[in-house]
Amino acid sequence: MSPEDIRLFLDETLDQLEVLEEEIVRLEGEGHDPRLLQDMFRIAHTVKGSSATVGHSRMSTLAHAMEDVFAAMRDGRLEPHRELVNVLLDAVDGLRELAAALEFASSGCPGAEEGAGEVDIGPLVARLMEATSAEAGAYEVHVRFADDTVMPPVRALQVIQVLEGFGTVVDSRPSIEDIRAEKVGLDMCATVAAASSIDEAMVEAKVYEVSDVDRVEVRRSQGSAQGKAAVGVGRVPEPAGPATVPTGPAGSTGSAGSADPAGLAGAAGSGDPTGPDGPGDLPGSGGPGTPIGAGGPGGVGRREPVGGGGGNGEAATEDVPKLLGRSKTETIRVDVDAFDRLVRIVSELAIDEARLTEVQRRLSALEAHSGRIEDLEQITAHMNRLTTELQEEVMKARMTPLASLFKRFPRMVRDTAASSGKLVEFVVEGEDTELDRALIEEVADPIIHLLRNAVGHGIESPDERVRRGKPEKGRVRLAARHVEDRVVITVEDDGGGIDPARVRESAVRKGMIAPDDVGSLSDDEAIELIFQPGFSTANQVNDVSGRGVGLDIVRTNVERLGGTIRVKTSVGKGTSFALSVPLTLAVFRALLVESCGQEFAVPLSSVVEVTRVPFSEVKPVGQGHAIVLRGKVLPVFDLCDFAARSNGAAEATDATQATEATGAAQAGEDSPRDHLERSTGRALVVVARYEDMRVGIIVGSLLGEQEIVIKSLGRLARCARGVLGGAILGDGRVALILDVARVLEKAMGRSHISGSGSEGGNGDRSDYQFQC
Amino acid sequence: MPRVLIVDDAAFMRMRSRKLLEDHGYQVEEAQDGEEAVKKYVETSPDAVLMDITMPVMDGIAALKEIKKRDPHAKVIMCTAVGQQSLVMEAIMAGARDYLLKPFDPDKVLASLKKLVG
Repeated sequence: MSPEDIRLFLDETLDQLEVLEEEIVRLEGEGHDPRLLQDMFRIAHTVKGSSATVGHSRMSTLAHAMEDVFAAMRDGRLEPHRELVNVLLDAVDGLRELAAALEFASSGCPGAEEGAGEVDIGPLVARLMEATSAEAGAYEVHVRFADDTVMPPVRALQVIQVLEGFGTVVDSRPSIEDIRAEKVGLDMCATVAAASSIDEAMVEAKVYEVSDVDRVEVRRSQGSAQGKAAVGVGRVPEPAGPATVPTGPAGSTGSAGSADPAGLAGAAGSGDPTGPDGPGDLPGSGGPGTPIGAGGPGGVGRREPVGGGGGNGEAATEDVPKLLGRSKTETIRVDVDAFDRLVRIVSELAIDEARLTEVQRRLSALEAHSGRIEDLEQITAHMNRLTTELQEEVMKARMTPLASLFKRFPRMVRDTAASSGKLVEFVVEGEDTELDRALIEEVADPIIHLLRNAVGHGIESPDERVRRGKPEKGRVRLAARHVEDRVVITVEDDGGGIDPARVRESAVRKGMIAPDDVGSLSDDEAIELIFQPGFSTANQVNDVSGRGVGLDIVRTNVERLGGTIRVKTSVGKGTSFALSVPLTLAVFRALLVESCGQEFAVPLSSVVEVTRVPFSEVKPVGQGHAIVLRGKVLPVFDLCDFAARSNGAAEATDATQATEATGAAQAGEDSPRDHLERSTGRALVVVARYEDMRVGIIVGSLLGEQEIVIKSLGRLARCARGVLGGAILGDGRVALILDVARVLEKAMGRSHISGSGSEGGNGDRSDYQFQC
Repeated sequence: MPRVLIVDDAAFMRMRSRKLLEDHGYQVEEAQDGEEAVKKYVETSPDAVLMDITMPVMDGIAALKEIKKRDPHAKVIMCTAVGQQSLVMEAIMAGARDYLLKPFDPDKVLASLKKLVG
């Protein structure tokens, strides 16, 4: 099996598992659906077949056990109850871990092969088998060979042979592969799955017949005993901790030994290998047990948008054709790194093309009317068209529907809800929205964070919700949509909301703001504090309805992408976070402008119009400025301020602040604003929009439109908020790409802050938008 | 009285084994290579076979496979020296029921036979 084959197998299998996981979660919400079950059966079957082909018997065995469960459900022999869904989801995780181990093993890293196959599938298979048949069971077998055993691998092989006589050996330590490689110690354990119950004593007797076997213990696996108790079967759990194993599995030798206790503990429904915990105890971290009685079946609902995020219709019937449709699209898989290199090369090409055009333009000016460079003009024009097309196509290929990310979340929300004792209906909308692949990866963490917060802390406990007169089941909504050249992702809950009073209290207690100043913060400003570093730690979670856990990190990450995050909250009603990120990180058309010697690029999609107003009409409003355009007040921002700041001169900053404090009309001689007054007496204003808001950007001059490629500015860009990155122009100079959302925030923020009438303590904040 | 077929190319080894087994109430047949072992097995249908691995003409594993072909229930114990682990594994996978390490520990030989034929 070549590494390429393995790669393909892994890619395909992981994709399939993702679909399967999504379907399992949906199954819980929607119950019996023959077509869904058939599809799940098909996936398990495919995974079984392909993993057997690559020689991965554990994956194949596990997938086979899942396939049996799906078949039983499809044929109506089994109902998808909550515990069964837990088992199936755990099995998906198990398959993923096995795939990850395989990936690692085939990575060629030193020691990789040693670490492979540490995943213990025995308990999982046992639980799956017990689900399909009350008779069926899995048996844990522990064997200890005599100290003077001469060829332990041969004995281990004999034990396996004996066990095969009773059922299927689904897993063993050492594994068959270990045995073949002669990596065997004196301890051995195995899981035997039998279609009907077998007599433990009989198995023991048969294993004893193998020479050199010192001790044997066979026990019916407790894999699903806990779950059965939970759904009312009520098997009395025996003390099943590893402490009762006389041979002490911790003493296992050989390469595979270390995982043994965990395997046994897992089977006992407790992740704690040290205590003799019964299966009825709280689930430990490592155990596959179900979380404590959290919510009933159907705790997590799901609604699929039909079409582009419109009505809901018959979700179940719509989804299956959609699923089948997947395979009809003709696609090829391309290595992500290879594709990224392609994108980079195309970007470089675009820059060269722009420079070439620039050279041609200058030559044309020199050689005007001579006709000697007509060819060059034609070539550059053609090249320009081609590179533009090439870029568009490449960028389009990078666009991926958010569904690839969103489909991971129902499972996560379900698990978070279960472990925090919440009842949650999870609604996903707009997953067809496309976003640059690189960005999808980047927004994953922030969304996960926000969803966990929403479920874990936003939504109240069922009791509390009832007390507050709300439906017992909370609602969390994840939605995505295109806004201009950005994608806005909303995470919304109908939970307790964030109480600004408590945020203020907490901020003062943490010394983030002086007690005297805190009163001057508006509620919105107070809420904004949750994004400040150090605002919240786990301890504060409940103080502020559970918000603020690492939200500063979320904000930092989002802003790194040129994105923004906003929060709207209403006490008692819920909270909504909106992430807005650019559609792509790489290329777009921009309006190039100049201000105070610095070139800037304004994304063309944000530009509404360009207009001139007499400079005298630019009125100071608080610390900011505004003009009246066709009867409406438009906040304006002078790009020259920013040019001065981005040039890094401290005096310039001071001068600017002085200017702002005193108003433009009385600006000092060194003020950048003189530039405007001296030039024409009229301000050139680029009106840009973000969502439904507009801002005027005062610029020195317009340079034209151009396709630009974003280059990260590294630390500089982080220091200069309001800048998405840099773009290399045709003549090799660098233009700063404006982040309109930020500029708007700055322009609005200023008037807003001054509107609240505060000074002093707010100085920093008006500044932080654009400075380190 | 259980009957055991001893297969070994060394006459000395066959003699030692015969003495041990006869002293403990077994009836013994002998063969000196694999080919002969298969022939004798078919003729006498012994209850168990003690089979050396390294032998001329037909080695012990080949003989084991031939015997298993004729009688899937044949109880064959492989006799081996240290260092033949992979051969023993092969034999076990081919259906050998046990193995004994040479030089023989009489107790182990008897214990192994007892488990298989009582």
